[in-house]
Amino acid sequence: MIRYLLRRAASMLLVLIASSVVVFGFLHLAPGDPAKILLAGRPTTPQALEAIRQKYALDQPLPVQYVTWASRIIQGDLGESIKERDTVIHVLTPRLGTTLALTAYAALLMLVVGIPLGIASAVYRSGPVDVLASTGALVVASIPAYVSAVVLIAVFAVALGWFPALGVGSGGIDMVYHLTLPAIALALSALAIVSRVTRLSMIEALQTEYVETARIRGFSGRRVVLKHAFRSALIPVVTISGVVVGYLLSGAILVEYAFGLNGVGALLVGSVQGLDYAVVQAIALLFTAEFLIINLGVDVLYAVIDPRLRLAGRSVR
Amino acid sequence: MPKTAIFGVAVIVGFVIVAALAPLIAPYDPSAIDLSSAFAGPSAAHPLGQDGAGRDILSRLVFGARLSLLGPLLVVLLATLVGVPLGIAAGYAGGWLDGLLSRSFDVVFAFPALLLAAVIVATFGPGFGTIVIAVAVIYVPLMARVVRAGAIVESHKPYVDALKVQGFGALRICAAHIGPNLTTLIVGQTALYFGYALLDLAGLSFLGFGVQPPTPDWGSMLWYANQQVYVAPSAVVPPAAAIVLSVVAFNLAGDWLSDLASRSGRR
Repeated sequence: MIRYLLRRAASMLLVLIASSVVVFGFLHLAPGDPAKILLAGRPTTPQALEAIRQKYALDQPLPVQYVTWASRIIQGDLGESIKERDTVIHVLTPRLGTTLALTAYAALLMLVVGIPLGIASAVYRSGPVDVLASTGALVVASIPAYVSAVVLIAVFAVALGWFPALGVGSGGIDMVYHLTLPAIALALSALAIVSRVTRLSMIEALQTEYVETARIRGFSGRRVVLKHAFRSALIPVVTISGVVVGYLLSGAILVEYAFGLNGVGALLVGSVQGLDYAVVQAIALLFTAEFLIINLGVDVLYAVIDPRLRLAGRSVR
Repeated sequence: MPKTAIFGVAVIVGFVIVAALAPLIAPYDPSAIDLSSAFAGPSAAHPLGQDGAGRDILSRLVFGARLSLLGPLLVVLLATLVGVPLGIAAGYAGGWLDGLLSRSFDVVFAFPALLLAAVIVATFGPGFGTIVIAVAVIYVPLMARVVRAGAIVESHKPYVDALKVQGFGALRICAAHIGPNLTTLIVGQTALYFGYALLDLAGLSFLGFGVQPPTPDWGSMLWYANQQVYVAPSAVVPPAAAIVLSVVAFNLAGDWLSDLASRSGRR
């Protein structure tokens, strides 16, 4: 199992390096002088341009430039934000909390609501809960987070006035209150997908012979459903949850922008609009790394849930 | 044809007609500003009301259909024109070519799609063309991966061996035989991609990365409505409904086409 995880981690690292080459390469695909692009076309002096060329080794061949750039990043120097006139690290760090809180809140909603809903739909198949949840999920799964965000703001923040539509509040309970509407907007379509997959997987598991056997042996309905059927139904649920959490990360950008939250996503949007290239590069790398780490986490969970993978790990991709 | 597919196709045909005949259907110039009636609610003259600059929302929605549908069309065209040959090449040739192409696709999949798009927009500047390219970059490898799987199955069928024995070259076998045999698979994918690409493009446009004002598309209309939500909350409904309705329509049509494809594959 250790070997399996090491292999996954190594391939993750390779992909991360490859994607950093892509992020780096785009700077040179852009028409014009990379030094001027890093300055976002602002008026500058020859000295300032020369300083940037020196710092990023822009007069050297591309591989040397990449290594210079990458080793700076590994040392924690993500460059300077032109717009904020500060280092990217200083601009980025205070905003991480909001984005992490929002994404974690949405992921929690997705699991805590989505999985029980899927189980209930499977156990009471074709009952009122199932019909309502399945039809609802079908529609909601097609609604992107930015549309839910805008509609939720219009209905629950403006028309009904139940929730605030702007900002993250003043920490603690107030922050949870402020983030509730954004988290719902972010979680809705993910929740629909998770509950659909849980339902299908549970229906299959409830029809297996060992569940039948457990029933015949007289175990209680609750024990059969949760202990026997759900355990084997869990693998597809974990897979889809991992994929969907990746969507949540991207979705958070749009939701933060719609709700005017001061997270990394809103920073990214402002930086793209203001052509603040160093910030965009840093955020792209950060999100890609998070995305890959989540995938690795899903692989670890597989090994924990399914003993077959632990034993035959080497043959598993 | 199931009822859901009929609904999907009907909505798509309706939207395409609206987009094509926009100047005839829209009651007003979509950019005509009339500040005296800003935020006016629905009336007989303006069935969906007017926005913060007094522009007719129905006319903007009708004209907005043009870019909102043209964008995904271009993305799907690019995905097909580039992704299908790459996928067939990878699946048919195998070996190092397959390895190289498949690993390159993996790198694209490693990015959360929106982040790759953001890097591309930051590089080339916002605009309709940029977001089409940015989204196409994600859909080319998606299409290529599906086509690759199909091409592997096809290239192990006896007819391919028969063609090889007769001395046909790889290019001819791929272009004239394997490609056409994958048509149903590809068509099913294009309909699904169309819906998702529409969502992605509208999202990028919502962030201000796409068409610049005053040109309307549904994503930027949604952004504008969100900006004005305290004054006119109901103005979010038309663009939101247009986006969701078209995505549902394309998903229903796409599911039906994919179903057809998998059924004809089994035969």
